[in-house]
Amino acid sequence: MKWVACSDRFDWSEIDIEVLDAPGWCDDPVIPEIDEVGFIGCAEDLDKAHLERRLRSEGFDPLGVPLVLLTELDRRSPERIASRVASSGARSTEYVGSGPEHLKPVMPPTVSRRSFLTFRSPTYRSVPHPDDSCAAGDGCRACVDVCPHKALEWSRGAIQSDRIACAGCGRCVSTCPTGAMVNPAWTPAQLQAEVAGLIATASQSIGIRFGCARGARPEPASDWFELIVPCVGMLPPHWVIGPLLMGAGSVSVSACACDMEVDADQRAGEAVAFARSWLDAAGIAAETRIVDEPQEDLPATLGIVGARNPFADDGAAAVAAALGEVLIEGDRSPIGVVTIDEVACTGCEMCSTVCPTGALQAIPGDGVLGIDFDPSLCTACRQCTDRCPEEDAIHLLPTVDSAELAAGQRNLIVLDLAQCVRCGGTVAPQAALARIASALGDDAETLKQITSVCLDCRGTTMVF
Amino acid sequence: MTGTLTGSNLARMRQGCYRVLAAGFDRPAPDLTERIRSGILALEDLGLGMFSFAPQLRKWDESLESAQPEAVSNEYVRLFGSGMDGALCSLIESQHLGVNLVGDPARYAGRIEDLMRRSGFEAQLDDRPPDHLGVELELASALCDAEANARAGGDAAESWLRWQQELIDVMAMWIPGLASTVGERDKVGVFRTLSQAASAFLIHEHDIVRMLIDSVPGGPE
Repeated sequence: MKWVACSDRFDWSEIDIEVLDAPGWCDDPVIPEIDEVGFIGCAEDLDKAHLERRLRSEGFDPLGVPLVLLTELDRRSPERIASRVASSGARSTEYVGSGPEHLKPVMPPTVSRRSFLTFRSPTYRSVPHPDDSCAAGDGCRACVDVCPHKALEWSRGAIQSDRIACAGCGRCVSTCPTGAMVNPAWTPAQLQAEVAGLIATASQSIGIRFGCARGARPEPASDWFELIVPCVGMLPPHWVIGPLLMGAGSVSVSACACDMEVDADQRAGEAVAFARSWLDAAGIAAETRIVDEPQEDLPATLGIVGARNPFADDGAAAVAAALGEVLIEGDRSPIGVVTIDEVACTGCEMCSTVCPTGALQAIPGDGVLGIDFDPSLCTACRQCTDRCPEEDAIHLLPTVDSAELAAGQRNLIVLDLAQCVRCGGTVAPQAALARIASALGDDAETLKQITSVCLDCRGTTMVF
Repeated sequence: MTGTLTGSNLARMRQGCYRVLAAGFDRPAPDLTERIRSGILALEDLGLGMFSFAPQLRKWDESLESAQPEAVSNEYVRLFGSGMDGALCSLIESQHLGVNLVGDPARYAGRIEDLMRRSGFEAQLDDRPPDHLGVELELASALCDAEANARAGGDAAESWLRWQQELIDVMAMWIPGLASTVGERDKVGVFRTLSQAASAFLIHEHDIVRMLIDSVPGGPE
C-alpha cells in the first residue's frame, strides 16, 4: 500500500513505508489514481469532510480508505507513526463495504432563511444497519431495546432503522447477539485489527485508551494509543479486557466527550467496573491494568495465550476461557445462565425460537420435548426472558461462571407431549394443554377439539 | 469543487436524477441509452460525485456502456412486458405489491392522482397508470423542478418538500422490493444496476428531504 502524505512537518525517510510526498496536501487533498492508497494528514490541518467529498467524487468509498490523522504527540516519534500507520492499514483490511442504507446525510445547521438557500453539500455519517444474519425474523429485538434514540423499531420480523434519528452511538452494534448490526466504519473486527496492528509494531508494552469518536479528547500519555469507538457507552466489559489479552499492558476508558446520550459515562463506568471485577476474580491486579487515567509506567503484557478475538461475536466466551476460573455476577455480564421453572413452563418454545445465538434449543424426542442450554453461546441478551409469555417460567442470571461454561450444553427441562388421537403425531406439550384447559374453564367440548388432534388432522377431522 | 451548493442547484440535481432514472425504466428506444448517458454526464457536472448514491448511478452508466442495445431491449420486454400472468417484474406499484382485490388498484393509483392534483400537476394521457414507476419518478422530478424554481425566487419551498416527502414515502414502500426482484431476475445487468441506483437514490432522498424540511428556518432573512 502507498501512503499519501506531506513532508511539511515530518521526514518520512525515518519510517519504512512507501510515501507519495505531496507538499501542502492537507490544504488541498489531491487523490492519486492508484488503487491501494492510504492518506496521512495532520489532525489540526486536514478538513476530513472535504477529503471525504473529494474521495467520493473520485469514485472511492471514503470509509474503506485508510486515513491516519497525526497529532502532535504522534509526530514526536517515528515508531509511534509507524504503529499508527500499521494499525490503520490493518483496520482497512477488515472493511466490509457500505451501502446507501449505512450512510446518513448530515447538513450543516442553517441560521437564517438566507443561509438555507446556500449551504454546504452534505457530508455523510456511517450508521448501523442489520445484515442478513439479523435474527429479528425469529423475534429478536435486542438492538431495539438498547437504542437510546428510538432509531430502531421491530416491525413484522424485521428491524426498521431511522437513519436521521440515529446518533451512531454504537450500542446496537456491541449488543447484537449475532453481530448482524453493522456500522461499516466501526465493526468489531476493524477495532480488533487496529489493536492487533498497534501491538504488533510496538517494541514495548503499550496502553490502549478507548475514546469517544464524537467529541474532542485530550492527548493520551506517550506510550498510549487511542482506540476510537463510536461512543464509550457502547463498550461491553469483554471489549475493555480484550486489548489486555491481545498484548496491551493497560487499558483506560476516557470520559464520553459528546454528551449525546446522558447515560454514556454511567454505562462505560459499569462496563469498566465489571471488567475490573472479572480481572480481580481471575487473580489479575485490575487497578494496574484498567486505569482511570493513562499512566506513563506501563506494566508488562499479561502473557496470557488465547482470546485473540475478544471483539468477535463470541468474544465474551473467548475472554472467559482465557481468564480461567471465575464466578462473578452483575447486570453488565456479557454471559448468562438460563434456568427454566418446571411448573410454570408450558413448552411453547418461544425461548428457543427467539434465542438469536442458539444457546437455547428445543430438542424433540420420543413423546417428549427437551429445552437444552449452552452457556458458552449465551450473550445475556434477555430475549428469552423478555419474550416468554408465561410469568416466572424462565430466568436469566447474568454471570460469568467458569464452572457453568465448562459444564457445556445441558438439558433444562423435559416436557411430555400429547399424542394426536387420529394419527399419533404430536399435538402440544401436556403442560401447554393444561394451561389451555385452565384458561377455557369448563368448556370441555372446545377443549377436546383443540387438544385431542394435531394441527395436521384438525382440518380434516371433526371431533365430537 | 468547493462543496457548496445553492438549494436551487441541489433541487436541480435531484430533479435530474429522477429524470434519468425515469428514462431508464422507459421502453428502449434507439437513442434512449445515449440520452441517459448524457444525462448522467450532466449530473456529474452538477456535483453528482459528492453524493452517496453516485457509485450506484455510475455502475448503471458503466453497464449501459457495455450492454448490447438489442439485448437490453429484449430483456426489458422479458422483465417488464406483460405476459399471460402479468409482468415478471411489474413496474406498476399495485401489481408489484400483488393487489388483486377489486377497487384496490384504483386506490393505489388514486393516491398518486390525488397528490398530483394537490400539487397542481396533471399526467399526460398515455398507457401508464398513475402508480407506474415511470410516472411516480416523473412526478418526483416535476416536484423538484417546482422546488428549484421556488428556491431560486428566495422561497424555502416547504410545501413542495412536503409533497415530495409524501411521494417518497409511497415509493419507499415498493421500489426497494422491486430492486431486489429485478436484481434476481435480470440476465443482462442493466436493469439490475438501474434498480439498485433507483433504490440507493431513494434511500438518500428519504433522508435528505426530511432533513431539508427539518431545517426550514423560521428566522430572519
